[in-house]
Amino acid sequence: MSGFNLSSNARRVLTLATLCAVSFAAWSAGADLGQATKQATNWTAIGMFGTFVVFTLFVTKWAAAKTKSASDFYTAGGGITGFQNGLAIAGDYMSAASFLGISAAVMASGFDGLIYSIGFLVGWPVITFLMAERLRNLGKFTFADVAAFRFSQTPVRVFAASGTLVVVAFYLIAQMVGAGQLIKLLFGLEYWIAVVIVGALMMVYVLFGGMTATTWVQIIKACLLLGGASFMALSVMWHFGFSPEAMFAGAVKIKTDLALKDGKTAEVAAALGQ
Amino acid sequence: MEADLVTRIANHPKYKELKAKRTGFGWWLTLAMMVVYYGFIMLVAFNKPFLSQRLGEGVMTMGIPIGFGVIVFTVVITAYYVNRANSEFDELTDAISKAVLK
Repeated sequence: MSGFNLSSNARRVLTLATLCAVSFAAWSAGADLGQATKQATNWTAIGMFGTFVVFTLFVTKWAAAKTKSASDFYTAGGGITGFQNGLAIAGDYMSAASFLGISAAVMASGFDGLIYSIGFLVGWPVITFLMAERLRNLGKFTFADVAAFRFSQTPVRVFAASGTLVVVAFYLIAQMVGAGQLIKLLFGLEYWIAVVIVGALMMVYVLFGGMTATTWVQIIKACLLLGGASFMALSVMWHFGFSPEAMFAGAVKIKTDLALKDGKTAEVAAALGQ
Repeated sequence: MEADLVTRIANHPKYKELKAKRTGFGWWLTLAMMVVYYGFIMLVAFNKPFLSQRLGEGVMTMGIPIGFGVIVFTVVITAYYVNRANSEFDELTDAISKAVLK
């Protein structure tokens, strides 16, 4: 594709910079600052995680065999259908945050937690309305490609790459701290081991498999998350007879009981419970 | 050749129609999304008592259905855009490329 005119040297520099960003994130995630207590080594959880990792690594191997050109690497050779890509983007979007974090935030701070989930949903349609179709019609890989199509190449690319790396590095730090804490909590592994494993896996998926592997891993993740979240939501609603009112009343009762147990008086507990 | 192609596309009446329609549509939907979202955030910021009204006898407050309403609105408005982009805009794009590449 003619849009891809980075020299192989520049590409190597970019890959190197990406590696640096990942290592920087791993290094920044360094000190264990979480509250999660280390559990006893949990072999069942490690087994399930290991199975999933082996399975996704096979997907990566399959994708790496198919990846032969820049277009294969960056856009899976155009072989991803709209629906598959939609699922993959959904997998990106529905991080563990929407699965565990948001429900916990709603439980802990009620309505304030709901505002978070609305806030980060609203940005997406705006991107669709204003940007998506232009990107598609120009047939370029990234936003930087589109901007470089119209403006002077070098400054646009330097700016886009710096912006991307800065944002991604800080996003990665939060992600890797989260993943490290989760693995520590689930498996009883040391925190630093957990962070190194997660970082190495991410690099293997992206560097070897390119967009095909990344997309398919995201699709698998989206299906697991959608299935798991729907199952949990249905079970919870079934438990409360499909009445959201009863569910909120139950949540308020649990919080009130917890506050009572902490030695608060009944009125304070009732207020905290809401 | 390529510059010629660009001028031919840019001067094609259907291209002008597509450009005007699509840009306007995108901005109107963005505006609607912004009004709904910032309206919601303004309510949270300036009229808490309204949102914390109880619905009936129970513990559920007014804010919950309104919050879910914002989420549903986001999904509906996106579906509307996708629907129109896939039918009307794609037909126009096809018509332009057929006419120009002929």
